[in-house]
Amino acid sequence: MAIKKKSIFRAERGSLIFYSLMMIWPILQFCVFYIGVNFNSVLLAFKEIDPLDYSKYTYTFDNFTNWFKGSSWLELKNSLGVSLKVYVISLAIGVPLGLFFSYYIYKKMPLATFYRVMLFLPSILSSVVLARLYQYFTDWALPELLAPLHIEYGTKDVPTLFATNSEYKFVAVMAFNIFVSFGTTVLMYSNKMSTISPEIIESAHLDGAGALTEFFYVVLPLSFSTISVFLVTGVAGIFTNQINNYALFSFQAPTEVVTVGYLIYNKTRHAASINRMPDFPFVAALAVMLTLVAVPLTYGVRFLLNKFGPKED
Amino acid sequence: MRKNLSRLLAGALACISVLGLVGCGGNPYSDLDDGGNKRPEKVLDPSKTQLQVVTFRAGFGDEWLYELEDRFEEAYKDVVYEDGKKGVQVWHEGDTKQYDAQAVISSKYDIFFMEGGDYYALCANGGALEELTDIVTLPNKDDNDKTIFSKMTAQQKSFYGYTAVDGDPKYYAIPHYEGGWGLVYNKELFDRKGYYLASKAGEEPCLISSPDATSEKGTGPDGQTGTEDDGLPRTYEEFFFLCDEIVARDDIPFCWSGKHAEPYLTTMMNTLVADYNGVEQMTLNLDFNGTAQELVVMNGNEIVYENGKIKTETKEITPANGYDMARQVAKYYAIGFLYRMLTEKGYYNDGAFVSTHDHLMAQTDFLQAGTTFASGKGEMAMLVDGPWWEGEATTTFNTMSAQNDAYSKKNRNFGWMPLPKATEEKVGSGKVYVDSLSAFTVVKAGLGPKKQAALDFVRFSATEASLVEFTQITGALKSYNYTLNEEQSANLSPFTKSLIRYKETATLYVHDSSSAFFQKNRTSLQPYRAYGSSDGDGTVGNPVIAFSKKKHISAEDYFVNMCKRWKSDNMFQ
Repeated sequence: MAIKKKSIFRAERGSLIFYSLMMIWPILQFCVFYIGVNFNSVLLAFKEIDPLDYSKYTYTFDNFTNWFKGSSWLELKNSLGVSLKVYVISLAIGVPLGLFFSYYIYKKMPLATFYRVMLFLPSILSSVVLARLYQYFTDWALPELLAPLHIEYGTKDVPTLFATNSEYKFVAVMAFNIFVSFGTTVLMYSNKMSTISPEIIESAHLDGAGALTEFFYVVLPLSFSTISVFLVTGVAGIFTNQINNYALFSFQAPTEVVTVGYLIYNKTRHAASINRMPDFPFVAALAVMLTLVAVPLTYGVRFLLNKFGPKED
Repeated sequence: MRKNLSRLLAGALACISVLGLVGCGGNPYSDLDDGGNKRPEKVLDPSKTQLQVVTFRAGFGDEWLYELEDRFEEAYKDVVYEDGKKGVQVWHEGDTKQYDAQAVISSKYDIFFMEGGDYYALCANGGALEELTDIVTLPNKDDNDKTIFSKMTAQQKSFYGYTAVDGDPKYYAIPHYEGGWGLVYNKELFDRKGYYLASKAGEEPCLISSPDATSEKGTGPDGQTGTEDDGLPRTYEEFFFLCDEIVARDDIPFCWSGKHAEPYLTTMMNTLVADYNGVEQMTLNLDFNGTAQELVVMNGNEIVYENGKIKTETKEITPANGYDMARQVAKYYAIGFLYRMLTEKGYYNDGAFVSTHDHLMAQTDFLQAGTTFASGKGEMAMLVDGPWWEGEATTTFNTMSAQNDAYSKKNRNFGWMPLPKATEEKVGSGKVYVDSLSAFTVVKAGLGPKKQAALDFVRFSATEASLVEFTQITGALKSYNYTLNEEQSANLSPFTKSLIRYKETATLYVHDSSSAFFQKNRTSLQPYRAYGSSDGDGTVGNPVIAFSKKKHISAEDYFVNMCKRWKSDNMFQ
């Protein structure tokens, strides 16, 4: 009996050691690269670093207040506007279209599998490759395709979508982003829709429901838990979404498409590329302020969706 | 069938992944592995001290480095740097990374030939770089007892002398090559079609090819006859008269890369500003400490004119009122210049604003226009680019010369264009050559016994012979005072010869400063950002975007808005 107990103890101890060894690395990573980095970012937000000797610094609130002055405020105001516009457009166009495509695939309508693959394709290709393809297509192929139709495009008077002198860069970027966004959402929505019991659908049909009624009164409420996840993460991502600007424009995105996410990314990238320490605190301060806005906003939207959104039961 | 299709698809995707991995390997600038070794006969010799070098992989290539290494190894073959070793071997690789202090310390390289680096960020991080003060200031017996210091300009001496340690300037880097954006002009086109001006001061502009003109070329922007720039436009007014004439003869005045239109054109605009200002006034835009000479007088948002001319004033500038530097009249004129370039019909190439039209495509367009390689009829008169352009366009030169030797680099005739002056009064006021590449050489700290070998190699790279050799191989200039005699420059391309002649009569302006104010605001003070303006709807715009759009604002409004933006900029709060 005693031998058996001892062997169980030994086995448990072995498992514990194995478990500990397996977990120590991810925990350490979490501590350094999440807790440590974020803690340092908060500290950085209050520092002013000597540009000639990075070991010297003082503490200040200027990094926060300077965002609301002069050209920095213009930059921030512009990018906040773009970020909100992007969120609204994604919500008003991207989400409904994604739901309709998912429903189309879920109902196994003609070429449903083909659309499923095509819509998911952007998610498996590198965003840089996809962005290049899209730009080359709009810059060179589209003018050739439209020429026989006598539609003027790609000339000095009617520039291509991404041209420096184009008035439609925002439209071009949003079209790209909405197309790219279908991959994950369509896959998740259609998977969720496929879990709906066929009996419920059949029952709706017996009650005389058509396709639209079925979609709005049966499929949508029963998929709402998945939809709400995307709505909540969409809110959380308002200030981090850079709408593929880096893939499309590298470091020179025009002001009309600069989101807060891209603004932060670009400034951080620039500082990091040559380790210009005095540039980091200003960006860190903005990130701290945006976190203070994004966290309650995200929880608020989640609360509202849970309280007022349709229930699966 | 379906299964086979799936297998085929999976196979294709696997191939794509493998291709991606292949793309990661192999470095054409490497002589450290078999893949890129241009010197298979050179084998690692453990009895010699080994140095590893990295160079920025750009238009200048690395042929110059191979030659430099060979000469250095030969010259120092009997020197003992480490116990039990005699002589030295140098190996190099190339990449486009920006090495910060941490990357320098952790890399395998001993010596770094950088471009676009931030010297003060490297110094301020502390401990990454070896001090080079001795090799900069002490005479070099291998270079006729000259010092590197003696070949540097006053601005360079001030910039590279890092004083934050104990107040005394200490050198942790030496200059590498130099260059900035300007205009390359097609001399053979200018010669053939007579695109030179015959006009002199006070006369209406006219081309030497026009019926009512004398065949004698005008003085050019230097105001003197018998010089390199004879017949080139003296003033902005003449310059745009020439552009109109070029358009009237079905040619295209300008060609530039649509992908890089904003940085290329704004940096070229900065060259115009520097050319007007001169080095001293230009440096005020970095240090904000001194007397500004020609600031546009403004009454609120209105520019004040006096006797039909812009009224200017002199003012003491400090960081507190540094925003007044936006009012430099040079900027007003340069903005007007850019405005005309971008808004006049027929002035630029088709790809000028196309986002995927890169610099190599622009160079190809420029070289092929008017030849059998191009479908369009018109030729292109000027290319917005830098002195490195011929190196970058080598493939196009080779492709064209394979069909006809007249298209080879040596047989084509291009020149570095002396920029016209903003006003008649400025004609003959001297030229400025702008270096905005931030290219320099550093040595990693803590190399131990081989430190001296690294220092000797860096010093060797700045000897007169090495500087000349660099220019002969790359067609570009190192950022030092040196000259090439007739024999040394015999095999250079006409463009390089033209560039050298330009540089010999110009003053060098380096867009970098040691001042704490500049180092704190370095990003905001780069031309791409510094010439930004609030374009009316609250956003910070760039002059290229503002003027290229159909609903562009006027040059004067842009200037006024730029002044307003500077006034509210956080740098000066």
